[in-house]
Amino acid sequence: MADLAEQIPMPSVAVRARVSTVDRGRSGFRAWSGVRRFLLVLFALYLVKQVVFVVAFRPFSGHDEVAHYSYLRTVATDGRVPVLPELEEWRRAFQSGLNPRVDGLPDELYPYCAYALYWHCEPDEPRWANDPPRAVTVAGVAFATGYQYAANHPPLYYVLMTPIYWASASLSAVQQHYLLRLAAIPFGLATVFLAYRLVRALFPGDAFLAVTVPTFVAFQPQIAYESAMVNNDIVAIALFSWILYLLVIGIRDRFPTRTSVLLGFVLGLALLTKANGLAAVPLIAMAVMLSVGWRDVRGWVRRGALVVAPAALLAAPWYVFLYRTYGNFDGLDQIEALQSYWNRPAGTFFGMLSDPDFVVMRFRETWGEFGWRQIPLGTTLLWAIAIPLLVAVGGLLVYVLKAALQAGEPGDSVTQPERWQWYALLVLGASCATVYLAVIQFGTRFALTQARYYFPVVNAASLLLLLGLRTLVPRAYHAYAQGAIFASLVLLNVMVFTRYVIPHYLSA
Amino acid sequence: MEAEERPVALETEASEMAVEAGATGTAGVTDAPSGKAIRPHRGVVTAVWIAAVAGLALFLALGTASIRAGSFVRFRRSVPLSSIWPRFVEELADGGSATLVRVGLFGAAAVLLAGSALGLWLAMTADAGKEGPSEPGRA
Repeated sequence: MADLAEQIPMPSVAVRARVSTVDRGRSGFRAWSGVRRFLLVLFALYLVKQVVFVVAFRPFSGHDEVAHYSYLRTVATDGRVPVLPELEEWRRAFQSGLNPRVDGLPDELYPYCAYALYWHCEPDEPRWANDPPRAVTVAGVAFATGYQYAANHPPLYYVLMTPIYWASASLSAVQQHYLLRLAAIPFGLATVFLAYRLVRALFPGDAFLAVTVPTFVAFQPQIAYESAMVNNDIVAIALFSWILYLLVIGIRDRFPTRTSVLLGFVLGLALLTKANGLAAVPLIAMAVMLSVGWRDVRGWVRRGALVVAPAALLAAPWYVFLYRTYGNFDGLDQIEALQSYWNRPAGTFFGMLSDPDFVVMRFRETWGEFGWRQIPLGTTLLWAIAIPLLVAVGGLLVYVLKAALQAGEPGDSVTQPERWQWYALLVLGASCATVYLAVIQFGTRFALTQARYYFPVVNAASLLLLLGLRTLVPRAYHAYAQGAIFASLVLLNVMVFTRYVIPHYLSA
Repeated sequence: MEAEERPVALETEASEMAVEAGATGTAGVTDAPSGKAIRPHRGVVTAVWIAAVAGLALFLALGTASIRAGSFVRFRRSVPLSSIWPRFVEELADGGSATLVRVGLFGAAAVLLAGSALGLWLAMTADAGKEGPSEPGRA
């Protein structure tokens, strides 16, 4: 029957001539499966909603928007990537009375210094009006301030945005920045679409997951926020989502050549977007090993080579540049030195792993805060979000137990996963664990480790959580649960905007 | 070679057909064998949808929300939703191109409300349709 539903009616030639384009569109829409119709509406909603996100936050108030815009300006106007200052070199120049040459944040953006990391911020002070501060002294020791602290980020996002910068060069920085925020929306939309493709690849016939997983991703407030800001995170999220999708179909199809090469290509792009793309490397290795089998050495070596070759070809120039410029592959030693007057490790690895406050803060950042912790959500609302999620985690455990105990019995492809589906779920679970541990690892050096670093696995986490909910909802009520989840997420966005975002905007 | 090794992950078409032919059941759903997709009763879905859309419309028109951010916090009182959003529009309109901003944002609000209502309906009535896994080697 679904076969019939998928077929677009083919009228006779005479009739066809009278059918207008609109009619064809209507009949085509009706002929789509319900999930596809839903998805089309979800996409339209998403696009409009994201425009509201773009305008509902003050200019440059997104985390590091000042720095990202500044990086883009350097790429677009100088044709190069910015460079971090070396603290000791900078200090020698400063102390000898020279004006150290540094890639700094633009003077004209000093009024937004509160949204940049530790740019000594006195925007109302007349003496900084035309010459913003570039150095601070802490206990008699000089440090740079207002420098381009995002300079160690890979260049792909900025290169992609450069044509938009050029095309809008006649606009003011604020107008350009709104345009660049709009340019982030397609990456968010791609993430939502990839959530749908992920579900369809793993559980092709399940309407519950095909409706709820993309909905969850589309209405998750912080993913939506990333997709309405000037930042490379949303590109990293979209590319990581693509990697996860390719891993699932790779496991299903045992990593044929085309999938392996494409995976390497996307991995290369991810590595050129943000360093957290590295988290995909062990996941790819794990997926190939599970799919091909560790005994088939030639099989996984061949597939591994097919993945590594395009990734290395794409990303190697950037990493060579990093090494030649900084003597390491991430520039983090330089960042750590530059921030040493305020930065402290967030804790020890196992300390953070077992610290309830660390978990709670990451949860707060996952759903609220918006930018550099500007808009914290209230405890009641956070509990209203947390309780269903905890139930979903419980449901996931129930799913694993039930599916494992009923292995081999007849059932549908969700409740009775085949071996490859188990492997895919395992890899998705491992992706969530890997990026969370990477957030903790980052915190062993930097105070500002934060939840957005694990947003690249939003599709994996959403699928697993909603698989858990699906397990707990009786099958007869799936349709109502689909509606309830959609309505709840719409309502959540209404409440977050009405109670927090809009009042914050009006008060700024 | 790889195509032969590929596991099969097709949702059975039989389940879709069972849905279409499903017998009437209780609790507003059609009954179907275990493991098959179940389509809810259209009348119940319609009633739920009307209640949800009416509830949302009433909430937006008459509801209040205790403001938890910005300078509003100090008043410690609930504010009608119907006043918050227009103030936001006016604030944006003050920035220039007032008519364009008003038309754009009220248009966006209308699309979001209508889209949410349509989306809710489609979410409750969605069937998965046929979409098997992509061909081996096709990403």
